[in-house]
Amino acid sequence: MNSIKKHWWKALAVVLLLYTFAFSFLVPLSSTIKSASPSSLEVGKNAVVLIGYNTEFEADENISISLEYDHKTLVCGTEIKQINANQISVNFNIPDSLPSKILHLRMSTSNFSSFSPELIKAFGITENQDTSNLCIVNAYNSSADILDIPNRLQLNETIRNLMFHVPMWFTMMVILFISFFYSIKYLNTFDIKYDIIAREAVNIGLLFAALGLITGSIWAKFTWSEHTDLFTTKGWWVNDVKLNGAAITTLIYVAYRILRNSLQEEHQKAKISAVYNIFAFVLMIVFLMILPRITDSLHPGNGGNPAFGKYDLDSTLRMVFYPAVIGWILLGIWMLSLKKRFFNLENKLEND
Amino acid sequence: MIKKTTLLLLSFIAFISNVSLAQDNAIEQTFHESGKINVVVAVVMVIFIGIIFYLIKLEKKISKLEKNSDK
Repeated sequence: MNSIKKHWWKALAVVLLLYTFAFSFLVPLSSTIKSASPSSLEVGKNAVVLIGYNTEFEADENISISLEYDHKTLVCGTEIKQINANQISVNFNIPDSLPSKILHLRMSTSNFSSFSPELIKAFGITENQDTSNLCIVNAYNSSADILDIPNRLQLNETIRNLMFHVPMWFTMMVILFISFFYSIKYLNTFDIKYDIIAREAVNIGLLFAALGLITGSIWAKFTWSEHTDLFTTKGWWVNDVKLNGAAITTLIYVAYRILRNSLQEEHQKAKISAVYNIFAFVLMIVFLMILPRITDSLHPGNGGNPAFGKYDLDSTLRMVFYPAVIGWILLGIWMLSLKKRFFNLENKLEND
Repeated sequence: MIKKTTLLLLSFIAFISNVSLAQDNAIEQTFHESGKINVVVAVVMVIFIGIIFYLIKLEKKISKLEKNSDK
């Protein structure tokens, strides 16, 4: 009974992380249209091959494809023919005048319905203001999977990293807050055991920061740096305000360790580094939470918007993102408590 | 000890940069296949290695303590 009271949160961490792993690897990505060839159409009849992801076109009788703009259906796809599970061919008859050159593709099958904005461009048309339905599609009631992860442009499967990369930073912030808290407590009491917790919390926080930097760098390399024209870097680092802020934060805390090691006397070391730690925490908040929201950042939820707004995070992802964050934070605290117990034991043995 | 770790790290960086010069098609291509799922695999592996790194460090500290307490 006593051990349950003492260790329940570790069990919770394990359960939440198991749920996170199971969810992030088992739930499939939603079916969507990845690309169209050709994607630029001309006036008249156009034969287009659509390439899907996670789709099952074969033996599906109820497929309707249409082009739309501003919620109005403009062109209905005709002569729909399944090539294989992921490819389908369709004919579009483009009229002389349409409200926009850029068209959105809507597709509904018996398994899924998808909307791909700005997938198709129509050249040679005259743009008019007329926005009325030009044709009527048979929208089938698709029985979509209850659970699927949204398939976003460029992100594709890497959206699963949300459950691994992002909680690293949340954990780092919580652990560094613990460090900040114990630094203040040390300055109030001058009890060296609080200084030990603050020091070890910074070490664990640095580990999570390093993991966050490396995982973020890998993620950015294969998504952002290949697709953004805004940034000239095409390597492992994208010149983004949040990335630079994270790097500076990490360096600030590395400097904390260097500062500690450069001082000899125990209480002097503890006092100076506790004061430094308070400044470091405030700087971390500025670099990670404030500056990215003032300027534009590639990270979602930045550039003036609060993070995880209504439109940023899909409801299916929310179901696993919050448990994942709590699970990783508890794991971090677990790691910290092991270190704390180790140094308490070491102190005890030294004093004996 | 520190020298050894630094050497290991440097050789790792050298290896990585060598690979990234030579790769282009072979390794990077695998990351783009099947919806970039291997990026997720790489990220999870990095985190796993990080936790193992923590365990190794903790174990070393505990062995040292064990040695000292025997004296």
